[in-house]
Amino acid sequence: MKKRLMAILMAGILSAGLLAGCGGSSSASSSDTAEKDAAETTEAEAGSDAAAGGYKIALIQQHQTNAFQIAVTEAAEAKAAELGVELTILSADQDAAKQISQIEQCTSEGYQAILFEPVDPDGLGDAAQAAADKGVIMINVISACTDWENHGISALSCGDNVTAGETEMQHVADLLGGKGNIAILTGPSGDAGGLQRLEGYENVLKNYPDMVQVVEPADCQWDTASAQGTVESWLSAYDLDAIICENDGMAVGAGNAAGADSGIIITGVDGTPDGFEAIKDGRITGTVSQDGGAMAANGIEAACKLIDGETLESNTIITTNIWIDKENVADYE
Amino acid sequence: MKQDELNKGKNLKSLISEYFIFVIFIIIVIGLTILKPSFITPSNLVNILKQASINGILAFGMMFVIISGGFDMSVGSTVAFSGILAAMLGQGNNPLILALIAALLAGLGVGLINGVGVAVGELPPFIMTLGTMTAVRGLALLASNGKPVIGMSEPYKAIAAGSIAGIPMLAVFLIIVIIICSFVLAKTVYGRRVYACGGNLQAAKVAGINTTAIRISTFAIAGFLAGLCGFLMTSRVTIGQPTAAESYEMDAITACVVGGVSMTGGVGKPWGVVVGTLLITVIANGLDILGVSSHWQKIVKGLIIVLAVLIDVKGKSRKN
Repeated sequence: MKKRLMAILMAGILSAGLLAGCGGSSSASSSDTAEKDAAETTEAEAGSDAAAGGYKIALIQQHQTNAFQIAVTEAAEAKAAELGVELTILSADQDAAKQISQIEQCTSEGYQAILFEPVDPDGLGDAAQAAADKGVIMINVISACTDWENHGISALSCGDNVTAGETEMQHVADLLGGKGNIAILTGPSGDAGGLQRLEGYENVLKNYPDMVQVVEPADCQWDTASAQGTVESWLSAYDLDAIICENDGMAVGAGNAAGADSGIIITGVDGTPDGFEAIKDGRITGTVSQDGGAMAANGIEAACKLIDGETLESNTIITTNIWIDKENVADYE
Repeated sequence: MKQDELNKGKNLKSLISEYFIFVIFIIIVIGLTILKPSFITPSNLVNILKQASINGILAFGMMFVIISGGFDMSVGSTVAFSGILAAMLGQGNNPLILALIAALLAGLGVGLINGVGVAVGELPPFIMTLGTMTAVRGLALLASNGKPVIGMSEPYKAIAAGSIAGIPMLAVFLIIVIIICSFVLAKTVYGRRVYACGGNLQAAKVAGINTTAIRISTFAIAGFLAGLCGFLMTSRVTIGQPTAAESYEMDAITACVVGGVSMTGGVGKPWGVVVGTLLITVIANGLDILGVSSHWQKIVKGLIIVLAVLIDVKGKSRKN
């Protein structure tokens, strides 16, 4: 009995701590919290106001824990406001089972369209099919389910990770004159997006036999600190001309290890604020922007068209990659 | 006479089991030097010190908790959360001390919550710290809105990048932590009480030790040091990342276990944790330098953990 009481007390203290933490954060970044509040209001309205004549759309993100995904959230909200869409944004927290439940939930709540980035390309197809069978317009954003067209998914709005990888490696090849020692930092082994970027690298490297990978690609888990440690070690043993990273976070780590204006070409993918900062102060050379915001916005536009009964020009909407370096970084911040 | 010889034999065996990990460490260093001479260059030794520092500081906090019979899953999240706070306060012309104090207090706060939950609430340490691990990661994401925090002031960035007489600043922090913690654990009454709590909690209580206060304090130390790591981590990577330090608790626990700190509590020596930390770092650094795929690093690390604990267990059963 006493133990149970203590347990309850502890839960209380813990949640008090949580609240205190929230207070601290809101004062530190009031604009962010305002956005969050706005998102919550949108959710609340969408829940209560079902058939007001407008569009009622749900967006289920893979997660909301990095700059790329937050850009998706913000762009989706902006597009929804522009088109008068009641938009609910949910996060699947990298959990396929949770995403399936969210799709089922949104279907039964009468959403006209559901946009989602599949947590697992193979695991979400059946859930999408079931929702589509009940008349919900299903759209993939950012990445697609395997064989998506045969799983009731009407459209796909995405970037192309293979092309992003090709763009990045091609710029490195041009800067090196097609010759040099290179090394690659990858995301978690087995991550679909990472593997596609790697495929893009390899497509370009085939044409440049004098660009040599002197070490095996290192799995740095998208993590800055991990990349920094690995590259520090490499630099004391190898003479590297370029370090190609599958995201900006790792490129920043590599840039920290090499130092500003090191003469080593360091590149990333994503176009996130930490990457831009490092481009400006010369720690990294450039990045390939994956415009996640545009992917979400295009997806919402497509959903509205389909709800209105129009047809799309193409059911695959590709967002182009942009190479960003010191010359043009100011335009993208 | 015969008894003496027997004791000698026993002592030798326990001596070998006690210093086994140190022997392994020396063998690995020699092996790596032969395979790749650039391993032993001064610049790489500096790298190793830098890479060992954050995990080393965390491992020393973890050491207190494990020796007192606890376990802390939350330190990785605490590093991220305090790192985010430090990043937010380390911008512009804010005095650096502000960021440092905020990070330390945040860490201390999480540690105290853990300690009270375990020592007063009598929750299993694993469950309590699993809860804070999850909740504090959420706080880090909430505080930063999921985005990396950029724009740290130059003096803040310079802390981790700087060095004193060739020794990187991060390592200076580590050395200070090692000296203080080793002294506290080995030479003070408080240190002996920490061992007593982990060795036999009931006996320690009966002996009149305020075990509740001791156990809370060990979690507080771990949290405080995690806060320090958050401050240093942000300076090292020059951004505050809510997803940083993922699974660092595991590396800290590994360093302790490999260094001979027993998971059942009451046993462990600071120098062992130093060797444990260096061993893990040297393996990661060595395999990077050899250009070996990072998948192998995981396999090697796993084998070393199991081997170390195996030796720990065997050594103990022999003593009994």
